[in-house]
Amino acid sequence: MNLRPNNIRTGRYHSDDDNYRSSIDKSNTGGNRHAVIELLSRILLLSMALLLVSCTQNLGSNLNKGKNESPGIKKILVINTNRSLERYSVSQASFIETINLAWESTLSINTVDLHHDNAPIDTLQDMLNQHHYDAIYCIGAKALGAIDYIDPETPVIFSSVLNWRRFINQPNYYGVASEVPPEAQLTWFKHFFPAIKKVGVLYSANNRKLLKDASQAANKLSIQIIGEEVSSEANTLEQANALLQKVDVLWLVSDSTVLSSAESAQQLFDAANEHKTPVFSYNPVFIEMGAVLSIAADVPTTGRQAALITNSLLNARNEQTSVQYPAGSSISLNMKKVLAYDLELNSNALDSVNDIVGEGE
Amino acid sequence: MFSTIRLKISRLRYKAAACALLALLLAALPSVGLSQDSLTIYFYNPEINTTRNVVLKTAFDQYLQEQGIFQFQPVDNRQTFEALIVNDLNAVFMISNWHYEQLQDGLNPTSAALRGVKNGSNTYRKFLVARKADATIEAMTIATSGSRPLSRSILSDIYPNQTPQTLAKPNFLIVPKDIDALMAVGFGLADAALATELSLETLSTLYTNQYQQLHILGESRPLKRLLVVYHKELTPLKAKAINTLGNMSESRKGKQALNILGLNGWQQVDKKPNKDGRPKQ
Repeated sequence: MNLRPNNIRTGRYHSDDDNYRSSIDKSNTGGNRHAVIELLSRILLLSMALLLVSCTQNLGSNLNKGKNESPGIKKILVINTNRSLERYSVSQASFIETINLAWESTLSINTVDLHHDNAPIDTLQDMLNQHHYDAIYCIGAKALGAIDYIDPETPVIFSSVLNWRRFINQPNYYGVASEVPPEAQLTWFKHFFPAIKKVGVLYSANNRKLLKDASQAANKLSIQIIGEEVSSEANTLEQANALLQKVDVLWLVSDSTVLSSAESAQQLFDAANEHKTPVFSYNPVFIEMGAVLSIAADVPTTGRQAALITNSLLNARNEQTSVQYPAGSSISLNMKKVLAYDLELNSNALDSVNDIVGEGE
Repeated sequence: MFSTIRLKISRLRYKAAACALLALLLAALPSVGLSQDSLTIYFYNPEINTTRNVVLKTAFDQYLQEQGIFQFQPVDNRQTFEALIVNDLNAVFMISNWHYEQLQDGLNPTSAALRGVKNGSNTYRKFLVARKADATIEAMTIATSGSRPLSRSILSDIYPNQTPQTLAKPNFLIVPKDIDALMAVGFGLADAALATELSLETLSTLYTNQYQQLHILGESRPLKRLLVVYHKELTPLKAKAINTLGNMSESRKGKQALNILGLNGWQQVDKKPNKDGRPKQ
């Protein structure tokens, strides 16, 4: 069900007024004080009435899609799923810094943190009722899910959402994907380890398209992708052992069948280690489990990209693609494993690493 | 009863605090002596994304700890770094040549000792590459791994005849690395990229198809590489630190730290004056 932001909740003002009036009535206890109190109450009631008129006028003007809200000033709402998480706060800071550079004093930014909010849809509905926004930036799935339920007419820009593919064809939705494109990951693999030729991938039916795209890109990079489709979690380890004998490296892609649990992931790493086959991954968390290389999206860059998309939309330029891949990479390297497997590492690639594990050993 | 216990505890705390303070003061005495034999090498480079500061610190400290009581300290912002240059007389600084030349206009109490070298060259060039050969800079989004001021400065070097107003028009998408910037153009995430000659060469080797789609719109003049500078009074400790940096390419850990910084080694800065009497840089 989609709710449009037109269900104005003005009851709060009336109920406040009623409570106030009843408290005044209770204070009328007769005697000499009665007239004074009556006079005071009338003055206060008059003030309250004037205040109410003013509030109602403001509310009414806000309903006119912000036509009278500081003309020339663009308004942006930034909705953060959880600002206490570093990756989300970094995205927000990068977004605000970049968008402010373009608009300076002609931009007004409101931010909301949904971390402890158990009724995010109500919170956002109230905000959209009170103000018109020219663009809404959502960081994380909770933020995007809440605004998607309300379905505002305003353009929505998002980042840090794992199921971003669901929004590709949704009108008025723009964003930055959560992972580095396979083509770019393969390019980095080759840059760090020029000798790799055969890259093994375990994947389920959900990732057939990813494998097809990656295979096409790999051909251009003189790399061969050897895919092994996994039908169930039960067969994963057996298929992995068969694949590891045929490849120079195992490339982990985000796949819930292949990586169904931490335990199954660890079993994969143990099997790869037995074969002395390096594992390349899409998330630095796997470095701790024994991956040699991880290529992840650079979080500050995704915030900057979201700001540039927003900037284009505010300037009424049509974005060519609704969802962009991240332009920046964050690279982690496990030097302990590089030495253990005696891998041929391109030392010139070290000027691209963000994190090195085990280099001091 | 309660208040008596609290009183006893507070007295105990007082005694404990006094003992702890005395111990700290005593412990500090040797470190004061030590601090005269220790030195910090501060680093700030607008050409390198600050997200890489941790990996740089780890790599440099691992090398420096083998050589003496030196520590490497990357700095996140320009203002803090410039304040350190003015105030910390007993430190050594790694600074980009572009930044160093800007300091010359104001108060710069330092002298250059070493300059970075990559593949035998102490200079590099930046190229502006785009997917469209007829792209104009006014409407561009340019991917760059340098800071905005540095990128604008490089653009003005590439386009010396353009007005500052025109050069202020393109949007910059700041990315962590040169190769990210080049791939951003390849994937249509930016209209153009500022990248070094070496990064272009790397892309041409790695990914010929993507490289062939790029058009070089312009190139900067040769830009000088990173400098190591010190306050003019060269103490034995500063001389030792500079010498330690100069010898980095002779050890495995030193080489690795240099590679992470994007260099192969250091060369002595020629202090002989030019014909006009000014020192060569």
